[in-house]
Amino acid sequence: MNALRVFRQGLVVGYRDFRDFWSLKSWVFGWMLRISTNAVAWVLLGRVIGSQARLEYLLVGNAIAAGPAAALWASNATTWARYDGTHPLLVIAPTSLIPAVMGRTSIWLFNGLMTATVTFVLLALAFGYQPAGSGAPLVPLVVLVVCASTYFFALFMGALLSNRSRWRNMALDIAGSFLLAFCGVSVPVSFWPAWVQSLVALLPVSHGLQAARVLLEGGPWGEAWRALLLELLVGAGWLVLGLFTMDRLFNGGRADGSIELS
Amino acid sequence: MASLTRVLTGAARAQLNITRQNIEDLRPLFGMPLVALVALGLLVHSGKTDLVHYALVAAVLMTIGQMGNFVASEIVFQERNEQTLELVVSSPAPYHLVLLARVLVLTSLGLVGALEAWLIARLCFGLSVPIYHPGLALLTLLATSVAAAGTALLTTALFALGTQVRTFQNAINGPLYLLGGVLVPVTFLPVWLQPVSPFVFFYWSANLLRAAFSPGEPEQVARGLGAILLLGVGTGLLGKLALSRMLDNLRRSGGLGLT
Amino acid sequence: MLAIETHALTRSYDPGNGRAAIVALDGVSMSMEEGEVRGLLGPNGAGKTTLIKILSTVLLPTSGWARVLGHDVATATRAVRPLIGIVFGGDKGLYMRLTARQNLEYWAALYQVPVSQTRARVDQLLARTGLAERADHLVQTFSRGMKQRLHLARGLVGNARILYLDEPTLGMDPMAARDFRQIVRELRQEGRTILITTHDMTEAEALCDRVALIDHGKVLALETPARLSEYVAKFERIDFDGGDTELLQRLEGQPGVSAVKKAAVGSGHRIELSSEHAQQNVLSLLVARGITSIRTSRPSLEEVYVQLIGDRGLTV
Repeated sequence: MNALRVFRQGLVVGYRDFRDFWSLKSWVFGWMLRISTNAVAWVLLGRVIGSQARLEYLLVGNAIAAGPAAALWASNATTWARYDGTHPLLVIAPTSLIPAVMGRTSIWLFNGLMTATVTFVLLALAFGYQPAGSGAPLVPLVVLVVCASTYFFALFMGALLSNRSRWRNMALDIAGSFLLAFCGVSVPVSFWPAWVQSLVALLPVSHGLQAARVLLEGGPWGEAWRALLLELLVGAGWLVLGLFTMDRLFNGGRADGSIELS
Repeated sequence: MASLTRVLTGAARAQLNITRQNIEDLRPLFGMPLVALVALGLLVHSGKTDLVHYALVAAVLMTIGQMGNFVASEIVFQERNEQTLELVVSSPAPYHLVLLARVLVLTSLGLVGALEAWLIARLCFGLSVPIYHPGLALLTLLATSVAAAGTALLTTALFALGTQVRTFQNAINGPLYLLGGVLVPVTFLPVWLQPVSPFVFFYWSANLLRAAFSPGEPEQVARGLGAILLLGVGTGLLGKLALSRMLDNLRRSGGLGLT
Repeated sequence: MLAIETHALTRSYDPGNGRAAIVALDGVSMSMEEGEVRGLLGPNGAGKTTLIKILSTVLLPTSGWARVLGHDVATATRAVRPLIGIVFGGDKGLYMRLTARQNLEYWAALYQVPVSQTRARVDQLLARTGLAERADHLVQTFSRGMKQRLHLARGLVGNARILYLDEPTLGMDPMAARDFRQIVRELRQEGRTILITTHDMTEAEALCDRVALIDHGKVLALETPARLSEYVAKFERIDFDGGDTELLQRLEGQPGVSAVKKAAVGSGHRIELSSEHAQQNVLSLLVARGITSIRTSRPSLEEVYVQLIGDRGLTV
């Protein structure tokens, strides 16, 4: 129960983090402008290629991938306590700091969900996209699962690279870019070499995205549920890894002296 | 003249030394290859290998753009944080020249994106993308990095003003790339948007670079190069003005701290 | 020509929301001769750094004027900037990802030191500040004291005639601070004009020709350290341990003794004199009564400071 309470308090801090970055105006005209223009450029490539099917493939992929792109910010957010100096205080406190960290960083999961939703609506309106499948109303649930599994992955990456500050931002960027490049957003996963496919299968996004495509295209429900289940499993796996890594990190800091008081 | 050259070269050297120690400055160079990879993969998968130069053009222009907007534009903000801004301002060197030298180093490093993209095409997809007009390609890239430096001079002054303004830093490149036809030629944009494109230097850069990859005789080269440089100088002058105003405001408001 | 001159220099800030303006500097008029070392002593928020900021051209005054070697700091910035060097304390103000040498070479370029002279000057400054052995190490690996010395080297790279040292020894250990003060003495002998802001009374007494006490934006006093101490007591005081009530009464009755007080610290007493000639008699009396623990002293700058500015404790 206390963990939940701490999580809620963390949410309050996370909300303030978010507001430090954006007001409503800057979220719309700053963040969403960036995301949507980027997505539009890729979708237009479908038009250059001259294939409506390709265009729709790019539309769905880039709209949904906007969610994970936002959720990946959580990897940076895991280390903000070190910058604002609260990290040692959290370590010293009697409760585990993991609920606090998760509470603070989960705001980026919600940002991911909002981002993907708005991007999808904008692109659909701009390109006159109408899903063929009756499963379309379930796609927001799929997007939530995709954002959540990406969020857990981001937690793991953030905790893993927390102490390696020189390379941290670079490594997080590359990990995020790899995820979004190869998980089926613009090009089917099957196009890439086998080793990339194997790696992607263990990462968030690809299964969930596949589930969403099937639902939107009116494909077999069984295929959609299987893909969604895989996404849930992958997400659960990264959650466990993330919790383990955070725990190791915080206790390891006490051993290697990396926790500074000021 | 000699003293101004001294300032420019001194500042450029310092930036190179800083970047050598700060891998973060080179993030675009590490990130953009993945963008090139996806764009190339998409075109190859679609059977459109005749358009692969689109991916190369997009990759290099985006790299230069990222170096300008996300790296060079951070300079003034960082200087304020590290409290070196007031020291530079109180030195005899004109601040806009110090900045110009530093941002030009960074946008010029963006040219590495061209090599990266070409190598990815070659090594990952076995594509040898011929450059029919290499001289044009080189001149266009050089002019583009100068224009990007001019733009960065403006944005670095604006982005130092505060968090909310900096938030728009994230927004700028997307519309600029779209309007500039960096990935997709502007003829694919809605007609009502197209008249805006010539005011974005990327528009001219993208057209000239795509022409450099095409066997036909490139058209309006002088016009294109001139437009890139003019837009760059124009935004650079605006940047100088913005910088002076910013510093004046800071001198008036007390925002230039010493401790 | 005066090195620095200000007339009714005022700087206020408008906090908005209908609140009263905050006056950081309130009509300060002062002048400094070339070659003078002046201390600016005052609590946090007194206006010391505001004055330095105006004199270094990074802040405009609200009213009044200030000139450096005859040039107005608000309008003639191009003329002023080559003449001044700033040294301030702390971890900021240096490029952490450059080496000490690279930092100085950069500033040498910005101060338009000719290329042919740069290397030699940088080497000389690094040697002078004891950083020669760490010249090619990144500044982010430097200790606080080393960064402070690099700040000084940086402030000197343009060979400025006028130096502003803003809390330069803050956070330094005593040995490093002592070495720093020696360098400042050398700079003074070179004929440079130096304005130091400091909290450190010992430093002000050791280095400054004159000290200005500043509080709430006003200069309360401007004197040599010795004359300032006369604000508290004109003559030397005598501190002693021991003695009984009878001795104290006798001492109070002595000619030239203005007061006998309990010492602020410990169980002793302090005799304050009002006459130059009283000291001999008082000392003789104490010795005759078997008192062996006797000390004479002048008021310290700290006592002057507390007396004039007041003991605020932690109040800002």
